[in-house]
Amino acid sequence: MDARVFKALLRVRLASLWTMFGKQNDRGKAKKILYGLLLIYVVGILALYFGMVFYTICVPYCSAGLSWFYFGFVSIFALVLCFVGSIFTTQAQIYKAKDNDLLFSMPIKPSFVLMSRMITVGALNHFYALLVFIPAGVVYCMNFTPTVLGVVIYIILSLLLPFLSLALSCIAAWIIEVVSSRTRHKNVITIVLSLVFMTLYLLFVFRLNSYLTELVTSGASIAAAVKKAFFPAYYYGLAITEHNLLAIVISIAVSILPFALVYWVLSKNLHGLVTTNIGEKKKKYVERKLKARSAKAALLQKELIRFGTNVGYIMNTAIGGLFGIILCVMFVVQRDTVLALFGIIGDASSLMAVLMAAGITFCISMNFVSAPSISLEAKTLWLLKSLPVKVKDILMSKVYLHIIITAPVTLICSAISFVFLMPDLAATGVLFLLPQTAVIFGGLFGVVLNLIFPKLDWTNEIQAIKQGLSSFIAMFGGMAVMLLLIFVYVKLLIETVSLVAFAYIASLVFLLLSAGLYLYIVKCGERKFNSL
Amino acid sequence: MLRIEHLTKTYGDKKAVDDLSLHIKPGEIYGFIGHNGAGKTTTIKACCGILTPDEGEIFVDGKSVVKDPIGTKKLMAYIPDNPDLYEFLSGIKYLNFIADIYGVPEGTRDELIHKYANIFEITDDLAQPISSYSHGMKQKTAIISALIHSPKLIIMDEPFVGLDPKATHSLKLIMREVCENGGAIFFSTHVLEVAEKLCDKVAIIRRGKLVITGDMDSVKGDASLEEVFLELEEN
Repeated sequence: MDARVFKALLRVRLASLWTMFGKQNDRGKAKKILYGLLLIYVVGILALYFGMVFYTICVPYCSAGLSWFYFGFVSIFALVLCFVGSIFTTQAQIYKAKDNDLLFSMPIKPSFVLMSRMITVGALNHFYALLVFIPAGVVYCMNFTPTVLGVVIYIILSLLLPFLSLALSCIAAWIIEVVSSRTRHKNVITIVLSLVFMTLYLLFVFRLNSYLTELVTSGASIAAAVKKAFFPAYYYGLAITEHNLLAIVISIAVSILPFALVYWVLSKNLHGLVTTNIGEKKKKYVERKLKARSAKAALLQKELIRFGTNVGYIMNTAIGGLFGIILCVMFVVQRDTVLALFGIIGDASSLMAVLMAAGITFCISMNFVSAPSISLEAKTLWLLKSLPVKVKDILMSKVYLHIIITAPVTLICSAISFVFLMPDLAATGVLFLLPQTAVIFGGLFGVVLNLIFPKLDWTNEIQAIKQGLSSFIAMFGGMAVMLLLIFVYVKLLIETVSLVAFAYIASLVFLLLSAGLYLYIVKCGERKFNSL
Repeated sequence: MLRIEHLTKTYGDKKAVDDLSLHIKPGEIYGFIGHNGAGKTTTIKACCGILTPDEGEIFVDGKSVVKDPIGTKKLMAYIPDNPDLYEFLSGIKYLNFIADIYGVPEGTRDELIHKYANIFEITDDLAQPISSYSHGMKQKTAIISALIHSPKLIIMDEPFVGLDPKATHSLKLIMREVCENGGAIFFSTHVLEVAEKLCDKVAIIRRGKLVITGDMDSVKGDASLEEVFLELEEN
């Protein structure tokens, strides 16, 4: 009975995890192949990237007799990746699972419910861990010959380490759950935390080379510091390289004991943790005079509230603005060097202004706020269809949302560039015009794509935002148009048309494309929308 | 007020509604009864302009739903069987949004929102996001949103599902009040006792076809509506 119940629970959890990653039974063969290739591509790129990092430090450390540090570094790297990669999934799968009421009303032990959920999150942790351990192992084998015992210990410890990450993510997810459920400003907190993580990540990527150089040049002192501060990493490395029994026991214990403790505590308290309402204080309505707006303004405000209250929507569809700002900050920091470089070619300020306009346009092309906006209606489509408003107004409110979210950031980027470049009038026009025409194009392009490729069968809004074909095409389509324009200029027009003149032509292209998309919305939008 | 003429709607090779005609006059509460999958919701959605008929015409106050969708939608309100509202809005913001769409003047919207929110006892909860509402509270919000723009015709799909007894009673009184003021109500229900007591007229649909329609008394005769319905279903 128990085994049968547990197997049934596990099947449900794995199906849930599978769905989260985009598996849909009704997906066509071509889409399955496309998603499969995309997954292979992403996994391949990550493995290659990690492999390059390990390649840089493998020989210097292992040749210097600090092989333990190489494997210790790998273990810390894997632990951080597993923890960061799985923390929100842990929160969703263990604490915010939607089947709590159903499962706790059935004759199932809470420990079974917990174990089934932990196994699925654990599978995700193992996936992330293998992304690190396989390239690290391959890099080591390329440069040195490992012993059979060393390989066996490496495999065992690689499979056990994700349990430590699972224990840590269970604790951290519980803290996030408690904090976020007690505050009305959970969206703000989540956005700020996400932006901090994102900025730290970008800083890490930008400075990776200098970190690696530091690791290689100051190897002994860093290793000594790690040995002192992260002693489990030292024992982990020692277990693999020296096959030291005490180190093996400590490494296994460090991986398993926290997991066992967390599992024991959670299994005793899961029912209480997930069913006790520790939510925020209820806000009582106070009567006040309501303000009237036009129907169009009401539609737009509805879109803005939806966007502003959905962290996933913000973080996935409006990140291009952040990249634009980072681009400008990088330019400001490196201004003198860049201007000196372009000064060789000609009027450095004007030339740089056009290139900055292109860079800003490229960055904000990653914003695709309107691309999932129709998919997000899904269960509430009945409402829009039953209201006395023109379909064109509904669709244009989604275009305006994209423009309102993207245009101000774009304008700030252009203004920063203008202040630090002071280009001539023609280049100033490009600096402000090109990105803004691309913003208008992006808004219209997203809505038209979503009309053609709606994703209305989602169970979680994030699926509509991230996994819809319209989002995918909108994100890469805008960049593709930009790259195509650059290609056309470099290959065909560089000799005959000045860069500034071509930038105006590019702006005109965006405007003409926008006009075409607007006409599509006016002429075909209603038919397509009503057929959803 | 609502005239359905030879409505036909097909999904694939299945006729969900087959040549259905009905006429609901001002002042009437018209019940629409049928088993699950009989075609009630399809008919209702076609009347509201959510679905386009394959054949036939639907008129609201003499205007065609297909030819003048905006004009007809302004005259009516629709309450669906499952009130999926904008969960990211608070109750008050949702109601204000609906008032904006229908162009309800500021003074009137204040008065009507607070009147109906008090009747359905959700005033204190209006500042909460709809995502925190129970099914019944969402249903009450949907009903209030239908009433605040004073429509001539209210179309409801299973309006009593999820409502507490007091709210059910209040809704019945409001339905009668709307009709006394010259409006009309067309609603589907599975609660035959309610239909029997509340409706002036009734229509029974089976496999997309209208089986019987008319005044409540003439349809049920001396029997109960439940007996008539079950007999028609068995035949």
